[in-house]
Amino acid sequence: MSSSPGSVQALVDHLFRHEAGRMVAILTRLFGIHNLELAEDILQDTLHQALKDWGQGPIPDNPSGWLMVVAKRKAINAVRRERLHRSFAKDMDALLKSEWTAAYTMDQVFLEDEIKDSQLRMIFTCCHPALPMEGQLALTLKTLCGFSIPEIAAALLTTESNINKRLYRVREKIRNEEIPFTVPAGQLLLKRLDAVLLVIYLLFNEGYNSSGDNAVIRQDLCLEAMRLAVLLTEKAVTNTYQPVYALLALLCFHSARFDARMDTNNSLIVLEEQDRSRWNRELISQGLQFLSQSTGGNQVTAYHLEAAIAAEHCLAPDFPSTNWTRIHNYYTELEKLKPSSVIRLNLAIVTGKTDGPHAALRLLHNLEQNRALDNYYLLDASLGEFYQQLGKKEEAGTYFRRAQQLTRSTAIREVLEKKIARL
Amino acid sequence: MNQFLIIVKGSDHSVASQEKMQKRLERFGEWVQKVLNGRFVAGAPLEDTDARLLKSKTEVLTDGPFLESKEMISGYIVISANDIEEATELTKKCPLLDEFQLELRRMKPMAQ
Repeated sequence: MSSSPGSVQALVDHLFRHEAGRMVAILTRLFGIHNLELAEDILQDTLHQALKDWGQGPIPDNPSGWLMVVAKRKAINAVRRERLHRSFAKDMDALLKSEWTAAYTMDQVFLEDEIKDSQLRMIFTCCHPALPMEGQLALTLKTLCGFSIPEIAAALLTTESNINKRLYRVREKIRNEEIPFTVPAGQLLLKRLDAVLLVIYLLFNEGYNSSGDNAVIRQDLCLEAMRLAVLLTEKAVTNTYQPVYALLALLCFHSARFDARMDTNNSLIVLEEQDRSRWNRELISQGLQFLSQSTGGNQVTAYHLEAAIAAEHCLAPDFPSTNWTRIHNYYTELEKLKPSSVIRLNLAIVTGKTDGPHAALRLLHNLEQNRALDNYYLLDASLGEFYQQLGKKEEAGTYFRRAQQLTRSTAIREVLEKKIARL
Repeated sequence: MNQFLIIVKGSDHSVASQEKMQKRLERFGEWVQKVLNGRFVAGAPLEDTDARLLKSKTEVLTDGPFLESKEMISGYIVISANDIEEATELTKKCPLLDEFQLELRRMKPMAQ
């Protein structure tokens, strides 16, 4: 492999995203969550050494392995340096501080299966319900997904200083409330697992639907959310919980359409006009596999219903042959389970397919009067759409223009611009 | 819960190969992980060099080995256990016992 500075930087960036979460999880397992900063320092240090060494000499055959070996060596040094004035993880402290057991303990924690165990602990810690949701999202991206501060800011559509503040507050809260670095057990496990699923769901949605202009970051967000969900299926404590598979199925179906949603100018293509041959068949069949693994229990969650809806879209050979009746039923169930204005909005749109534009407009105007979706462009865009179907160009134009003013996404504004032009 | 001191009697630290030492630590680590399982409190192997035997304020023996290698202490371990019976059972499984004698002593608890 050649090692021009650019390619080294690119390789390190790529590897870093993949290895950072694993390394921080292991180091936190050793040092304890109260020493999260020490873990992150070692990670940064390892990265700098990779940039330096690989820039000068040949790139190692197994770069991931190299990073792990270096991180481990730095961890051993940190233990030697800090052993007299720091306490490490409660169940590791004595073992790391004795020459009898230090090396063995270190080796054990770096074993593949233990790494997954540490990552699982990290997921449950980052998604602890005692932490504010925005803090959970930022911390998950930082520690589990290896996002830098500017990347988190881009992903969550806020400023770097805001992200720094959120991370500072959330770390302080972990210390003050003594949030443990453990996987909960018993009844608590399922409740906490629901909190984890919610964070994964929100991260994915942020990537999939956000109005951010950084397409690379948004795709990375989706991939990372999927990776975390897959991790939950790999460990015995979490892989019997069926909603995990329902969520994963949902993420697969959405991801399958990721590329087909964008044209060459990075503009959004609506479902109706997407080239279905560009949908990723492999992801769809994986999604169906997960969906079948998610059923059989007595629990139907919102993830099950949303996955079922997405599956209907993925399985329809073309837009007109979509089974709208079945989708309508799923949305009706979903609305009962998780009553929200956004779901009522979707239900109204689907009603337009099953019962015609008049029925849809009735529901949409009800929503408009509720005012809960006052600033949501999709309500106005939908009203415009159905007025257009009835040939009422003036009303349609008014709503499309209002929708345009409500969205920050250039891609969506362009879609609306096209619709106005076609009136 | 009591704490017990395990004294490792006998030493080969100045003659044992690095490989042998490494193998020993590995088996020791397994014992700590699987048998002690959270009951390891502290401990360290001891160097054979840099040893002094202070018999009084004036009589300090410096030129080791001042003891038969069998009598030299090559390490100590502190474990926690309910009583001497449990501590004995745990210690019986210690791999160091294949090579050395182990002396097990209950530590005086701190006064309440």
